[in-house]
Amino acid sequence: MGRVKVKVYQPLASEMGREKSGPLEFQVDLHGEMSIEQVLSLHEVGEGLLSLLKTSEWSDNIMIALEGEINYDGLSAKVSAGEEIQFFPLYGGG
Amino acid sequence: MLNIPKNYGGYKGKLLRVDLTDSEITEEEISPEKMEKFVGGVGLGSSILREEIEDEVDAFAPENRLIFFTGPFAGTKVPGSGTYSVVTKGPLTEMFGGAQANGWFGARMKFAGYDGIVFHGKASELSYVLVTDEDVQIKTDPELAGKDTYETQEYLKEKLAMPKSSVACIGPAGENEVRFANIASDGGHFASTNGIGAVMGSKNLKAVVVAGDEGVPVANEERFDELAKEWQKEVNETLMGATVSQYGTNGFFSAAAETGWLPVKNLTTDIFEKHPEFNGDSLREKLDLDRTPCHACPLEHCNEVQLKEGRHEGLKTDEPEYEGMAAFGPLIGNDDYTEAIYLNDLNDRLGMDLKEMGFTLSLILECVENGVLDEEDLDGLDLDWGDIDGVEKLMKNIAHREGVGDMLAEGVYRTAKNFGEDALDKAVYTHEGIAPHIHDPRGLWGYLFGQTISNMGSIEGFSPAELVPQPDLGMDEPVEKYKDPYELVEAQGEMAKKYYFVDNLGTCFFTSVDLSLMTEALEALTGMEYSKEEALKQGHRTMTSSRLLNISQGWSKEEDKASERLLEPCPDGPNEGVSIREDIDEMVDYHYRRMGWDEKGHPKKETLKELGLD
Repeated sequence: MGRVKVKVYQPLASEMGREKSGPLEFQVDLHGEMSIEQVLSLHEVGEGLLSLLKTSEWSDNIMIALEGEINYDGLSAKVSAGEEIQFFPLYGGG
Repeated sequence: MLNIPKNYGGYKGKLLRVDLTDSEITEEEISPEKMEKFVGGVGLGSSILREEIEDEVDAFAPENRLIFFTGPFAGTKVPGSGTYSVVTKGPLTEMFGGAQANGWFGARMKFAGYDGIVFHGKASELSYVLVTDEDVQIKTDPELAGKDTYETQEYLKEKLAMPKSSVACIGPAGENEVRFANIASDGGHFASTNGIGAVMGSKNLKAVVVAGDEGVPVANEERFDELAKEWQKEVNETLMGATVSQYGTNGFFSAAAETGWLPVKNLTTDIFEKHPEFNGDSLREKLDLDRTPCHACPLEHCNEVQLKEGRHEGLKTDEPEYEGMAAFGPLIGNDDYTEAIYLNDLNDRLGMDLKEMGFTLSLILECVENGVLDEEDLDGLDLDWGDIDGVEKLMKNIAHREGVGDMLAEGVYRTAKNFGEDALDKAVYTHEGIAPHIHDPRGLWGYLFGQTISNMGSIEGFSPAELVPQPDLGMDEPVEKYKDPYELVEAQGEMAKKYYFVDNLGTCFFTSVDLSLMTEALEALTGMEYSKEEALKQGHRTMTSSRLLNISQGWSKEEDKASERLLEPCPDGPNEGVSIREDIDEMVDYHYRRMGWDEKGHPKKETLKELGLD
């Protein structure tokens, strides 16, 4: 048993109701290794995030990182207790 | 070749030529064949540059050309269509220099009746050129000497009573031929890379003022209006657009910091704890904002801002982009956002490229920390990371070429070379002799590779292929980091073709959309036939033409290398231990093969024939 920290950066955070600057943060309890999708589905805020991520507007434009490592497996990537999942707007360059 | 209709749209078909030595002003027609082949912007500008400059001409010689060019979309309804390009032989790389600035200048140059302006020669006194749809004049004004970029723009608009004009100008750094001086326009928009402002200064040309009311012809108005609306909608609907619009490019600051490609203290670390204070959401909460949108831009991400706290409280300036906040923040060891905004404003006013400035300053600070340099080397300045007053003094000395500033005004590579091997090992540059964009590209090889093979000083492909999917290029997913360097080369090469084409259009990078939509809109605008495939071929043509230009100026394969610091492993953070050193030479060779160039990086005869460059 352990916890995973989830940080959702702006502007996605404001879409989820955060009215201030800074990322929206929440923690989820988990056993062993789980996918990001499973982790999010265990938390009310996470479920809301999952719904947003499944819209094309967001799914094409989000970068997911695990402990700062850019993740290429999307919501199916595996996470363990003690890790941090980060959701960023996709950076286009410049 | 493609079919060129008689009533083509998008272009004025006119090139203005200004000989500053003899004060001669002439107009020339641009052939439709040339427009079709090179489209506009960097493409058309560099083709003219290649035809007109001698082999290995001195960048500061009157014979060098300084060319302003718009693209076919400039001044139309498509989003972000105030962009223009400036091309010349740049003094940093002593090869091709090409840069874009957004705002309104490109649209107004078109409204004045010209697709491009070629400056050559050297004026006998500090001058400015006024270009309107009624007249073109070369004027002198001793009052302009020493004015900063903001003062120059305000002064000329007021003096000429032309509030609806755009002024492209240099600051003191350009007048003093600082090798990385840039060109400002429409407030704080800059065409910046490769010392194009120094070339403008070498011609005694302080400013170019453009204004007019001429419209832009459209071949198929109904269809073009439809597509322009679709383009506007697409730009608005992406999260990238939403982020840039709400938080500016600083909306990605934390993403850069958390994933390890924010440059900190001359790349000696990748960790910067204060990133949340620099991220766009926090910044915009702490600043007063006044939107200053570019021509036809729905994003309106540009703002004039005012500081509400800190020792520069009350300062009004254009909001720094991500690269400005990174250059004058973590890169020089400064963790106070208000000071970063202040230094960015100072740099803009003096008229210098922030990439070269940032990496020159951070090199000096690291050399001081390690005892490679001391107070004696730096005119008595006792510097340390984050020393704002010391950095401010250095920047002013650079712009005026005073004391040690005269040497630093040569840019990071030449400065390091002058200080010796220890400094050269620490310096961040590519062998062309230019600093990269303000990232730690060691953890994002698309950036590092794109910068290493650059023909014009900026990143080939613009974005790193590891971050950004390109569905219109068949890349639905980004290329996985460090997994397959060859796949990365392929992706970055195709992106380079795409963004060379985009650079030619007269639109902003942030409003570029799917290639199919852009080429459809180009067809409706010009009446010429375009396809996605033709667009990529056109990008390949511009890239190869740029390579030919560089070869004529003495380029060799040795230039396609990165400095020692850029080959070192990342010191910490998520990319700790990662280095491109073992792969980069093979990646460069593979890129040459894919582009139809030989092992020395010279385009093959059959490639030139295929691209119509023979």
